[in-house]
Amino acid sequence: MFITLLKKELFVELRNKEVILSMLAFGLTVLLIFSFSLSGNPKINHEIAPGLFWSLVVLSSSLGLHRLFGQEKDFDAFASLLSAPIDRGTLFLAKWISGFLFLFLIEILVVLPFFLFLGLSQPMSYFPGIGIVMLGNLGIVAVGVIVSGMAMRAKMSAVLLPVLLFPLITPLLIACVKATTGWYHLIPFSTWQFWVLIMATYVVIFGLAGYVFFEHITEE
Amino acid sequence: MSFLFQERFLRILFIVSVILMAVNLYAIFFIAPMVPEQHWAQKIFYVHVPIAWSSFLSYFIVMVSGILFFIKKDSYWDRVGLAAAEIGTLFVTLVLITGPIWATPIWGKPWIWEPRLTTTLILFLIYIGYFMLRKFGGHPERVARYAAVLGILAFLDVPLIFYSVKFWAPQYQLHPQVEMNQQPDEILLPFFFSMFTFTILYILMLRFRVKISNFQYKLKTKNV
Amino acid sequence: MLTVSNISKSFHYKPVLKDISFSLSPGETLALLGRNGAGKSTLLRIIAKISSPEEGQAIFNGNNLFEGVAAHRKGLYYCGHAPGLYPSLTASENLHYFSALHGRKTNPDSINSVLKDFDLIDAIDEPVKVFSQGMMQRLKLSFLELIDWSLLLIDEPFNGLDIPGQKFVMNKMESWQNGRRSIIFVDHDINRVLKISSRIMILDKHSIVLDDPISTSDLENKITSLMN
Repeated sequence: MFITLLKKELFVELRNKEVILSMLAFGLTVLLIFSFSLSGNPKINHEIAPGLFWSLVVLSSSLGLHRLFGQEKDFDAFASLLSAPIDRGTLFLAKWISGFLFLFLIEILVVLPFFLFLGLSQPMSYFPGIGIVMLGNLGIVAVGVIVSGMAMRAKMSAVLLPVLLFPLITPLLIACVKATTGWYHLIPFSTWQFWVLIMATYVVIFGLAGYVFFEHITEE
Repeated sequence: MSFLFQERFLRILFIVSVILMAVNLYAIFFIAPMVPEQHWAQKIFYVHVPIAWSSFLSYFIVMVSGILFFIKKDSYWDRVGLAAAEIGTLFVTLVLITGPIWATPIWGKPWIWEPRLTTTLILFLIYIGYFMLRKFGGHPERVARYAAVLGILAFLDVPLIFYSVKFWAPQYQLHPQVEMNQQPDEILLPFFFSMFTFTILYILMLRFRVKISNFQYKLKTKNV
Repeated sequence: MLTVSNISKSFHYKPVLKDISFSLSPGETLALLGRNGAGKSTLLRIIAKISSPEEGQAIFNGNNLFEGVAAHRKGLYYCGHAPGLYPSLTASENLHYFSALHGRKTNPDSINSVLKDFDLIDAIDEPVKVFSQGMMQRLKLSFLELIDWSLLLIDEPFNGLDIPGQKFVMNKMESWQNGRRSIIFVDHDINRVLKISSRIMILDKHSIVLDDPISTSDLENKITSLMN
């Protein structure tokens, strides 16, 4: 059932591209703002690049997460999903993994302009960075799906979502920036492994919380 | 007002709170010694830390109320959660005000991202979202569930927030630590008395607020 | 088949349903009537586990619907006011995915056959967002030819349909009454309800004010007086 739900999420998004386009457009706009509002000194940009990257990811994700339940809301397909014999936790997992994939896709598309516009040097190795980004995405989207599910039926949902999301993901944001800094600036792993542990703990806690509480968030 | 004092326990608790607070204030100003170099600014310590403790206690009660709301399926626990969230946020606001007041003469700067104060700030922001969710989340019966979930998530987040902030930028977060086990009895005794007094005050405020909330609920559901 | 006990629900502290209890046997077609705001749609959405009640219980085929176990909803199909479909997907794609979610694998032939039966074959590759209300209603009902179901909860199935459309839905509902399947539907047309249902229930002031089989004498007058 999880695979069916995940396939449906990906297929629906492929068809209308609401989540991906909103995240991509906003991400590139934010990147432009970063480029012009900083001094333009590549040395300074190199120092703060991890922080800029995760700020961009968090800001873009809030827009995408707001539309994560968009297709279900418009024609009340959500009612059909809820009344079907599907475990609500599995529904959360499908939203979580699909949201993670959409965010990862955006990061792949934005990373080249990110390096170009800020005049950054290429990293020495890619895989640790990719791992950190994937772990960070899982954490952001886990909380994002919970918060998006609550904001879906609320008034001022576009404002409510970031107001709820950003403070909750603060420890994850700090850990992501620290771990990315350690990787990008070639600091020994033993120095920043603590931050990877924080990220992993965050993902486990909020992934479990989402699985357990989604039942209570989805009903009217 | 008289409605709040109909209950004997609340009447006694109110009188005990007033007496304790009067004694507490006397102890802070006239019994606790003046700490060299910090003078009157250090006295905030006797208020700032107990209020901070009470606010964390309050947010813990929000979490417990949320769990009990789901287990017992009783809206009473939603009202307890809301009351605890309100008082907790009030106390957190006071912590964020008294902290910089204490910090300015002691650290030379009102704000230096001290881990506990920063954790308090983040919790304050989470609860801004909590009250927005309460206001805009929809009908109260649904919002009760959302608030319970958010209250649980917020408290689960606290240790993660604290440890991530603690190790975030220690070179910029240095400040004089108050090592409790090195303090003399003349400071410790008034301090623990103040902790006790503020805890009693918190319980009183929570009981009052829940009582008002229960009555409002009865009025709204016409069960008076 | 379905036993509903003491269901209560409020919105903004105002009760919408109070202590609603009834049982439904296999093969019954129950028509739910009542004024606007009587709680008919809310009751269906509660049984379908879309909305949660403050109190009460619903047992479906011996299983507690409110326990949060997905398998307990097997055999139940809800059809609400709104389309309940993905607007950007086509008719066949919606059928394919929602059938899969109800545990039924479909193939293009079975979907095409159903769409032909429901006169939607010409719109097979159109996204649902361009469908008319009648077409969406027919598409929602076409699921019932693909999945295994024993309880249908349908909210105003004739809403917005022209006469041929209403006739089509009435015929379909009659064809589904095979003695094993049950239907609860919301409607406002007393004549239509008397034709196709086996039992009538009226909700008023948050409670059940009438619950009689269709064979009850003078039922039409009773209904008319309660509805007015």
